[in-house]
Amino acid sequence: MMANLISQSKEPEISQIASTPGSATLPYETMEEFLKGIEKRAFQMTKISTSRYEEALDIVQETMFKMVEKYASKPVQEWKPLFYRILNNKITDHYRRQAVRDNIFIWKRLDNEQNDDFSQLDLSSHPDRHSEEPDEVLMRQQRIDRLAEGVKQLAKRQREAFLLRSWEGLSTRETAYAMGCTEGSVKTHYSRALEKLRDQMDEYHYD
Amino acid sequence: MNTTMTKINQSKLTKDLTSLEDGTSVQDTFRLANARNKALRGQRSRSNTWSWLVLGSSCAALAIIMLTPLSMETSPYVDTTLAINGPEQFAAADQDEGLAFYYWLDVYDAYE
Repeated sequence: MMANLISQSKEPEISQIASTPGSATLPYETMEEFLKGIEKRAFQMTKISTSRYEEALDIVQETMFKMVEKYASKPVQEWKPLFYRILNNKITDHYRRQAVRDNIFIWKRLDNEQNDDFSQLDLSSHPDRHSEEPDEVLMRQQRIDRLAEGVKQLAKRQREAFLLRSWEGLSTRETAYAMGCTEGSVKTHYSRALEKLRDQMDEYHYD
Repeated sequence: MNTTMTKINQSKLTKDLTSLEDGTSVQDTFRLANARNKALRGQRSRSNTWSWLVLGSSCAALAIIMLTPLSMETSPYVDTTLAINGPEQFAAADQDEGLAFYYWLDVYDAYE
């Protein structure tokens, strides 16, 4: 118990990730398979975080490049947290650059606020959606739009915790490594994110 | 905290978020696949590097253009200074002119 509390009070090491329960069964063995499986999710997450289409694509590409270049030799179990750690750092860099640009080019900031690249998806065009009733597709699309908009409004750390825990399904320990913080902080950020998304999350509560 | 978390229908939430991922357009999927292949081959996009190089070259060219008129204006002063500080150059020039005159005179006398 005490050892568990102590381990939660500091940032986990990457070597501890491999010992996380459930990390033994991985659907990928090569870096190509790993990237293929993660790229769309990472892209959508980055698009929600940055609200910029082109920059989201660049960030994911840079992350993939760094992953291959620096961490391909790491154990497979460590890839996912490492990937998201790089991705989060790249998104942070994006925010910093954006802040500097906004301070220098004030007129561009106004332009960015007016022309948000983020566009909601048309899920009805997806082939898997053809089996659903149109009403069901529409409801789901509206639900996702509301959720995505709510996630965009979250603070950066809360958004990271929510996306990694709820979407990527990382454990608290893996999320802590990806976010570069303690497991306790992850729980706090995640809890606050859910609290802020209360209205949007109402539709996801059990009746 | 857990009271909020346990109420959520995680499977429904995951299903919706996954459908968001599955809704990625064909163009985006293609671009991501292209980016992945480039990353696996180690070909980083050099667009940023090139843009910085072009910007740097442009700035250097602009600086040279702006400095060129200044150097042209200063050149007469440099010549004057040389003229004042270099009387031996005038002497040499006079000597050359004198030799040419005597050579001409010699040719002229022979012709006469």
